[in-house]
Amino acid sequence: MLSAAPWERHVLADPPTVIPTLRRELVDYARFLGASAETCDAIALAVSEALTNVVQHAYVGQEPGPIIVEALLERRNQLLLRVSDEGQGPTPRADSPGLGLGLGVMAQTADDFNISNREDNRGTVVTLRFSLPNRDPISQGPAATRNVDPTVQIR
Amino acid sequence: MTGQSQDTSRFEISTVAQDGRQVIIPEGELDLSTVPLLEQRLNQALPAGDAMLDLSRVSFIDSTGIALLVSISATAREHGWHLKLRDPSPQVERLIKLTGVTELLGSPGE
Repeated sequence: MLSAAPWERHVLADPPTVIPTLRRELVDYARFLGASAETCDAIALAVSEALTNVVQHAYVGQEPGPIIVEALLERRNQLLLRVSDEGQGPTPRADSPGLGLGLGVMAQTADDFNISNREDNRGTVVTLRFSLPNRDPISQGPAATRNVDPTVQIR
Repeated sequence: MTGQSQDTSRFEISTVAQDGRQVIIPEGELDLSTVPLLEQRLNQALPAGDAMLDLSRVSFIDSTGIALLVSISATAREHGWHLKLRDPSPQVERLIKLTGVTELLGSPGE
């Protein structure tokens, strides 16, 4: 089904312009699935924080590796977003740029938030969930006219 | 609903003189990809005289942008420079409140 087709991107965690690019693509996908403007704002913010963490922290002292972003619809009205990398894992940094606000922002913005080591111990995975309580069937929503390709596309 | 996403990829910083003060006006999305541009502009402007940072046209901000606002406010205080933040957009205002940094920024609502 078109509405349930997962969305996935593999991109290099550099330069930082990958952050707005992926953020906009994910918001387009969420809107396509029927997310409200308020939920789209929350998704944009949480995803931006997750992507920023990868760009700033995952590959410190090594060549930038991939950011893997996945999105899919769960239980018809819940959007699952997963941002993972193949970096050094979620470790504290004494020289961390910024104020360390990103995790708190994700926790307060998403309906559900989790950060952990990947199961294969190669990097970090951030999982975010957002409710889409008023989701309309794709075939009936105005978003269906948007030019969004929700099919898997790896580049 | 917002417009086409490509239109928001622009980020511009304009500066106007107003009442003997520089008004710096970033427009667009403030995140890790654009924060360095605004940081550079502010670091150029602040030593030159009183400055106002107008946040009314910031359409998106994340914690990277908030961190810049906090750090530049601290730098200004440290050096005795005069920087005021004004007219935060709803997105900026919301994240300032969410992150609890209001007191670190002085009075962004002025």
